[in-house]
Amino acid sequence: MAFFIIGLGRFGSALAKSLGEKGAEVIAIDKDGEKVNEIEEFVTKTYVMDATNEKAISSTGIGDADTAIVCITNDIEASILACMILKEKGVKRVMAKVGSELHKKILQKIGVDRVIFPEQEMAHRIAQSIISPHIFDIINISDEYEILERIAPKFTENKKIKDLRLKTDFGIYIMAIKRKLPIVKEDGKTSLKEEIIITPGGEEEILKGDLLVVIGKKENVEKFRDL
Amino acid sequence: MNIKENIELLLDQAKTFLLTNNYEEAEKILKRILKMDKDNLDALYHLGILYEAINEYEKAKEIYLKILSKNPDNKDVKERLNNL
Repeated sequence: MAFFIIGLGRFGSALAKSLGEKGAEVIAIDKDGEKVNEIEEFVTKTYVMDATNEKAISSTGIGDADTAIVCITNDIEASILACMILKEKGVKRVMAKVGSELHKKILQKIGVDRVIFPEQEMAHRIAQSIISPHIFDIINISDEYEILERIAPKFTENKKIKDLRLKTDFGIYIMAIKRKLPIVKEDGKTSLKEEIIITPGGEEEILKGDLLVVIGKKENVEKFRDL
Repeated sequence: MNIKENIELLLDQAKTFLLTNNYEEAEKILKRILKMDKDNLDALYHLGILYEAINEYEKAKEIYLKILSKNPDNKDVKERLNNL
């Protein structure tokens, strides 16, 4: 699967490097030759070009790309134009990083498949973790469903999953349990061992401090989050 | 039984509770030991482990820092603190 990264600022180049390290085919584009040179060794192919130049961008074969990610935030006009060209060229999935709420709204209007607003997303997560320290993470997987990672609420401690009626009473499912178990090491010292139980059965008992990874409809997950 | 022997016995009990995931009992006993000997590093270390196990990282950090203030070369504690 080929990924086109357009715009090699801090975010774009970090993304290109990361995808390259994971073995993906990465084509990196920026109009600044210096930025392109810096990333060259980490990616499959590079182009020095203006992403708003339709003719030039077409010559890269971008129309056949599965995913293109536009990482231009300092020039909203260029970002919008680049996204529009990519959509017109038939790129299957266009993603874009934005730097403001207005930028986000415009790109959503022109049909960008995923708009990334890292500062806003990070701020949201930090706010959540400050207000609810028992919440570790929330992932939106669609408009309807989300995944929540939280410390097991008090009422679940030392209870078997089958006795908690989470499915019937809360409409949520436990996908995994992450726990740290005290152990004695070979040298006789006490330590902790991390254990992950994937799709735990009904007989599994929840321990104090367990991290529960649950999935369900947003409203159900939110109820469980606030317990 | 002198205080030292009593503390050793209590520590064994606390470790047993800790290893069998009975954190509430383990915490009670460790705190009891620390009332008798507030600088007992073994009790402090196990209390730190206990807080880590139940995801009370701030409390664990506080305990580990206390241990390091008394024993700055404790490698195990330094490592635990780094991994928090």
